[in-house]
Amino acid sequence: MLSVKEVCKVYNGVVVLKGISLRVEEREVVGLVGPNGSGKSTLLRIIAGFEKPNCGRIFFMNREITGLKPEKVVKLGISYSFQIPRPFKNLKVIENIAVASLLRFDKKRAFEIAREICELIGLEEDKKAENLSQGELKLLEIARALATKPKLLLLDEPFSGLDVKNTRWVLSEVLKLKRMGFSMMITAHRVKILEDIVDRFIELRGGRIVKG
Amino acid sequence: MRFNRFSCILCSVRGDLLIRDLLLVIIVFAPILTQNYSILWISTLSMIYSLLVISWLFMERQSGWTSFAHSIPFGLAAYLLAIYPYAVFIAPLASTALFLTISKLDRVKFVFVTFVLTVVFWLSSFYMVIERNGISIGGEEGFSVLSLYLSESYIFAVLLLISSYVFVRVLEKSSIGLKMAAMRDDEEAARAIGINVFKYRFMNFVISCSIASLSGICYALFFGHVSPDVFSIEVALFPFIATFIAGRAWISAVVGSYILVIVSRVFSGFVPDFHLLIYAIVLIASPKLRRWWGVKC
Repeated sequence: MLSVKEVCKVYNGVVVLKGISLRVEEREVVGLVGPNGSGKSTLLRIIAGFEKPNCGRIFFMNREITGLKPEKVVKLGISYSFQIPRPFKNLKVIENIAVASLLRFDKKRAFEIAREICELIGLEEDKKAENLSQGELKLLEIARALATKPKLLLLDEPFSGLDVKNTRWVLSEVLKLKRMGFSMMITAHRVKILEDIVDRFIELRGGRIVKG
Repeated sequence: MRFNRFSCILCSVRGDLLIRDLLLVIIVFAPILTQNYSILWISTLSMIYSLLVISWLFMERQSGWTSFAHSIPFGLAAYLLAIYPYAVFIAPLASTALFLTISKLDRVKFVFVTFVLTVVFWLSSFYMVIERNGISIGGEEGFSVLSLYLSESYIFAVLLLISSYVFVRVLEKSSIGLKMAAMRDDEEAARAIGINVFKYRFMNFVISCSIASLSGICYALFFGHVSPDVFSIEVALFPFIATFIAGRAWISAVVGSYILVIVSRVFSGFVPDFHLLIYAIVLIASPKLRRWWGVKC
């Protein structure tokens, strides 16, 4: 489904990724773990189109997506959720999700889908995004990514900055997605938190794959 | 409190009807019933400025870019109407191109640069001289335009104001409006859900500059004359002050414009010694006015 070949990235002379190659198969959930600065988020941002790699190529469903803009990548079926939630603050929860759904559906259908996702995830649809708790914001990020009807979900640190209760909540929702058959790449600092979700781990350290 | 109850009664009669929309109809159509020349004149000018404020507010509310240069599409359209009427459509396009170029900067720098551009355009307009039939015209004196009768100007302004008002409100509720709102709140997050930020920003700027240009044309036809005043800082700041006084709702654009025109044009004639004092009082009292005005159903 997704194939990353020899991708590297350099920021201001600092090599962040050194020849990363990996594959994600259909209905597979891959955990990307490693310490801060190991290049996990950069790799996801490169796949999602927010950063351009300095070398290497990326293929999705047998189509090259290297260097494509994020709005093109998401249309092909790769959806990305940010590490630090970036809600549309002045919009309601349902509008936040519906606007993502507009990518593939008309307005009426987009709101129907947004309502379904709100029910699935357990978010109050009429609440304004700026009034959400940290846990709710993380879920809104995931909900918005889901609304684009992706084939592959890239979740960047979905559990960071959450207390125990909210971590459990987000974890259970991600597990639901796994059971529904979504392909996912999830980053985290710790292996333990992802143990129940992922099919296999890839460990990054200093911009290289050290395990997996 | 009484206003609150009254507005809610009205809303219970027609769920989708807001008291603000009713107020717009009253403000716009009442002057024609009075048949009073002065009232008609003030109303027409207020409506022309309302159009300018709506155009500014559309950019501010829907894309998050605050401009102090809406005098450019306004003035450019007025000048082109006077000099090359067939090229008047260039005004919104040129202004859009200008705004798009500087929108590469961040939003704070954008505000600053638009203000600088306003000053540059205003000063340049004093040197705008052309030769017609061997005579140099323009400069500080400006240009003459074929003027409309007051009643014609009024009808023209009413039509433009109502259609622009309905257009921006419908657009705001549409899927395009929702995408623009998302883009306004966070451009990178908008790109992550497939919104082409450049396309919607371009669309927003074109619509905003077109409405501002229409108000400039209306202004030129109303006065029958254009001068460097159309590019002035006063015009550039007008939308900002009007929304500061009456708030950022669409109808506030109309209310704020009426208040500003009355304070600046009428009181300066009736009580020239005190009109600045009245202006100051209006500005000081504006937070209270906005709070009163913010009553929703």
